[in-house]
Amino acid sequence: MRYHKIPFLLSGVSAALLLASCGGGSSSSTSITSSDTTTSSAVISGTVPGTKIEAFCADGSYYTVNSTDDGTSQHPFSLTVPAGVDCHLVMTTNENDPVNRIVTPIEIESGTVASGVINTSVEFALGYVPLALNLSDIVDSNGDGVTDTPLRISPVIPDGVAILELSLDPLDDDRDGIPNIYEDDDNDGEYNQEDSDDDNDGIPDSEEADNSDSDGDGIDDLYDRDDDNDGLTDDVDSDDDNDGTPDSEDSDHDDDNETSSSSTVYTPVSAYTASVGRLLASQCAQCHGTNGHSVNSWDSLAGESASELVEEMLEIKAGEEAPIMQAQAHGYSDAEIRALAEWFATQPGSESEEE
Amino acid sequence: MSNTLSRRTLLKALGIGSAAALMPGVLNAATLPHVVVVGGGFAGATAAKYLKMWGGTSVEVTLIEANTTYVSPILSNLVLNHQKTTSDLSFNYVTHSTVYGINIVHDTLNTVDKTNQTVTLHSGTVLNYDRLILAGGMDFVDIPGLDFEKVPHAWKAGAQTNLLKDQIDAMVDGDHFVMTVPASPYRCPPGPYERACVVADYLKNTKGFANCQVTVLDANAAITVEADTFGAKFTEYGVNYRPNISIASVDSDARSITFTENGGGAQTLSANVLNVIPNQKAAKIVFDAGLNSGNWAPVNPLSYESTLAQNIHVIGDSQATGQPKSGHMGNSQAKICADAVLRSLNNVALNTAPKTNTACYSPVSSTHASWLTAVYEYNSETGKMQLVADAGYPAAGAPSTENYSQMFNWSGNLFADTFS
Repeated sequence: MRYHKIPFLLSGVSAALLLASCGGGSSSSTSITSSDTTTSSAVISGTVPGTKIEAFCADGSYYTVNSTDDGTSQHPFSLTVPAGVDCHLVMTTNENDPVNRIVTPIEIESGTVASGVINTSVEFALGYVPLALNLSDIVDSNGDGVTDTPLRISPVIPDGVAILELSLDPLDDDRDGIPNIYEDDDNDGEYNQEDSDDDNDGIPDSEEADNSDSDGDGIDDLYDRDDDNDGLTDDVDSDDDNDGTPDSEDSDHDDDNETSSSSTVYTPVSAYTASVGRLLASQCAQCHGTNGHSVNSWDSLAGESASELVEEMLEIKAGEEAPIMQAQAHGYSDAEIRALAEWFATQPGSESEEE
Repeated sequence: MSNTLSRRTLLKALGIGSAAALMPGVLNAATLPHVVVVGGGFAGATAAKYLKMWGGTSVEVTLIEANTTYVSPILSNLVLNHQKTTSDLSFNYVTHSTVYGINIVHDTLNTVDKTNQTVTLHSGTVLNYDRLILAGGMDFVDIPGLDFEKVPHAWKAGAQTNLLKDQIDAMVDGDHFVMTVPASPYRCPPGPYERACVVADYLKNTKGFANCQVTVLDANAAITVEADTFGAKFTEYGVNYRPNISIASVDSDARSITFTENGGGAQTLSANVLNVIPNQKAAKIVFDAGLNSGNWAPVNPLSYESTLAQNIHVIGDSQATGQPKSGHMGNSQAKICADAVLRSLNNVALNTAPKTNTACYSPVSSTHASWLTAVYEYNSETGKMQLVADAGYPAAGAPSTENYSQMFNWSGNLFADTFS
C-alpha cells in the first residue's frame, strides 16, 4: 500500500480527502449527435481573464494550462483532454495570490441540461468566460475562495460534445457542480485540497490509514490514471506518489494494463446501433477475443475477409478437422455465419495477428 | 482479496456527508440512462463492459462489486495440484474503469426498491437505475453442521481454494479424500468430476501415494456430463464413485459426513480432507429482491429480464433458463442481456433469435484435459433456450495433452473478454 501521497496542485499542502455525499438523481443529456471518432484527445479552448485552467477527468487524469497573456483582457487558452472521457473544468484567477485567489468551477448550460460534466471528442470552443477577478464579486459563504455555485456559461455545443448530468459522478459526489477537490467538507474555510485535515479529526489526511484516494479527486488510486494529479499519468510518471521514491522500487508497478488496453482499441460511440451480426460475433469472443482480437495463439477474426471466414466455417462444419470448432460451427446457420463474418470483416485487424 | 472501504465510503456509511447524502428524492427523467450491474464475475463484468462498448457515451454504467480482486473459479482446480496459483487467476476492474468509463463501486447491495427503481448499498449510498442487472452468482443451500472454514467448498475461488489446497498438501499416504457433488443444476457441471480426477492424479502420481483413497459422493444418479471421460478416469485412478447420495449433516471438526445412499439408512464417513460442495440456489440478492421462483430466477431469455419485475435483469448462475451455469455461459448471456438493455433503452425491438454457447476444458490430470461444448438457440414456441437441434450437442472431446495446452488459449481469451 502507498500512503502519504501529496497532491501537487497549487500549494500541495497535503493529501486532500473528501467527505462524500450521495443519493440518486436524474441523469440527462443534451441531444448530442457526435459521430464515431478515432482521435484519442480533444481540446477545450476559449478566452478568459488571466487564469489557470484545470480539467479533472473521470479516469483520474488531470490537465492544466495557464492562459496566454496577449495584452488584451481576454487571454486565450487551449487545454487538451482525453476524447470521450467525462471531465470537469475549473478556472482560477489570481492563481498566484493566496489571499485573492478565486476558484470558479464551470458549468455548461445546453437546453434543459446544466452540468459541469463535459465529454468531448472534438475541439470545444467556450468563447469568453467572464470570470471574477475580485472576491467582492463572488458569493463565497465559507470564505475558502471557491465560488459557492459553479459559473454557468452557454457556449455553442458542437457535434462531438456532450454535456452530461450523471447519476453517479465520482469527481463530484454531491453533484453540485463543485468538484470534490474544491469542496470544503469540514467547512473550515480551507477547501479539501488545501486542507491538511479535511474532517478536523486532528489526524493529518496523509496519515489516515484508509486513504485510498491520494489526490482526493474522488477516483480511488486503483482506478486513477494520475494518482497525484501532477499531470503525468502513472504509466509515464516515474514517481506516482510524489514521495521522492521512484516507482522502479515499487514491486506493484506494472504495465500490464497499458499493454492489454492497447491491444483492443476502444473508441466510445455516442449512440447505440443494433447489429445482429455484431451480437452473433460477440459469441465468438469467449474463445477468439473481444471484437475478434485474440490475446493468444488462437485465431484473431478481426479484419478477416468475410468470404474467407464463411468458407472456412462451412468447411469446418462439413469436415472432420478442429473438433471443438466443428462442434461450434454446427450451432450456427449459414446465414448466421455470413452475418457474423461480415461484421468481423469491418473490424480493424492487427499486423501482429496475421495467421 | 480485499474489500476496499475507503475513508470517503466509510464517512458515507456514518452519514457524515453533506445533506445531499440523505436525500431520498430521486428523479428518473433521464435521457442518459443509468444501468446498474451488481456482481463483477464473468456475467456481470462482461455485461458492464459490453454495455459501454456498444452503448458508449449514450449510457451511464455502474458496476457494484464487493471486492477489488476477482479470483476465477475457472482453472482453480489447477491450484489444488500446484499448476496454478490463485494470483494467476486474479483479475481486477481497472480496465473497466479507466478504458471503458464504467463507475466501479466497491460495495454490496442492500435493498432494491422496484417501485422507485433505486438500490441502496451497504454503505447507505442510494443509486437510481433505469435498468438493474443482477449477476450475483449462486449461493449454497445450508447443510447442518457445515463450517466452510473447516470443510471448504472451494466452489467460489480465492481463500477457499487455498484452504483446500493446504489441506490436501497436508495429506499423507493412506489418507482419505472425500468430496461431494451437488444435485443439478449447479455451477460448472464438469467441475466436481474434474476436481476428483485432478486430486486423485495429484495424490497418486505427483505425491506418489499408493494408498490414498478418493471418494466421490454424488447427489445425482450418475455422472452428469462427460460420463465416459470421467468414468474411465475414475477407474484408472481407483476413485470410489457413489451416486444417489443425500447429505444429512456434516461434523466439521471431525471432518465426517452423514448421508443416505439410494434412499437407504443413514451412514457416516470420516475423511482426512472433506470437500463438501452443497446444493445451490440463486444468489441471496435475488431472493431478497423477490425475484426467485423456487431456487432460481425466471427470466425472458431474449433479454434476461425477470418475469417477476420490470427493468431488472438476472444473468449468470442465478437465472433459470436451463442453460448450464458456468463462467463461459455467464459471459455469453451477458452480451445478449447488454444488447437487449440497449435495444430497449433505445426503443428498438428485441432480437428474437439469440444464440448462446458454452465451452469448457476440464483438466483430468496435470497433463491432460477434455472438453465439452454446446450452442443454444431460442425456441419461439416454448419461449425457452434449447440445445441447437440436430447438432449432436453436447459435444465432447477425450482427454489429451493437446487439449491441455488449448485449455489455456480458451481461458486466456475468456478472461480477457471479461476483464480487459
